[in-house]
Amino acid sequence: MTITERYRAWKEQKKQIEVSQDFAKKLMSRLYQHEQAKSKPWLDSQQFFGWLSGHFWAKAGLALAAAIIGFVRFVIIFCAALG
Amino acid sequence: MTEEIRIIRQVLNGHTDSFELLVQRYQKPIVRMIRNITGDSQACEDIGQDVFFTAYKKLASFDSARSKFSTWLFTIAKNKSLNALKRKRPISLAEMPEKADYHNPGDKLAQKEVVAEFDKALQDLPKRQRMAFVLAEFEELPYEEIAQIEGVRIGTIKSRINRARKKLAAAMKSRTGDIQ
Repeated sequence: MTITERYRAWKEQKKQIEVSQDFAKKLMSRLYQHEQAKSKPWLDSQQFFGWLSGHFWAKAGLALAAAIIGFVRFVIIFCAALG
Repeated sequence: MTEEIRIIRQVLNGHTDSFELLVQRYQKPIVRMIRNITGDSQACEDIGQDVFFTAYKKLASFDSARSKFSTWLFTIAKNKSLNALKRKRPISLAEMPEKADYHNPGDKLAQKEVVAEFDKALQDLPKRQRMAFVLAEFEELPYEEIAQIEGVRIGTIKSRINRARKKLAAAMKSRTGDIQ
């Protein structure tokens, strides 16, 4: 067998390919999941409170922000009442 | 309007399931190209999955006036293959098979090893030459299409393929000797 014949045999072998039977199925289920995730809201309230309950500093930050807003509101009302 | 363009429009209009027709049509050439570029017959299907997933996500950016869908898809596959090659460890010589009797045509082991030697020679080619060679020899794409995929002139592709062929022939001669 000459090198040219071996090269041809190799080339034919490289052209052969068997793709898994479920290749397209696997991909399509990934695409459907992707589409589902896209149509879901970025953050729903249930998800947000679930996330919040697991993070101490997030809870503390939220409480601090609420306290600041409350205080500012109180100051504004107080100033308005005096003025 | 070609059938492919019609399918693409359907997918863009929300008919995700129509994309399967494109997958069925191109899964073999895409996975084969990735396998021949990366030399990785295990990972080629996973990379192929990524290629089609990316194609689906970016389908709106496909411009049929600029290229054929297959050219666009092969371009994505080329980029994914190059990324995979960057992450891949080089094949050590210890993984290469031992020498066999190449002069005995009945020696199946020798036959297998010649295939392995050709594979090794292919993997030793510079990435760009290997890419052009694989697209021309195994995918049998015209030079114009390869040039579009690679984003270079046809002349560059021709010279890459010629250099790849010469290197392969030289590598095979030095590894197996003149086996005529």
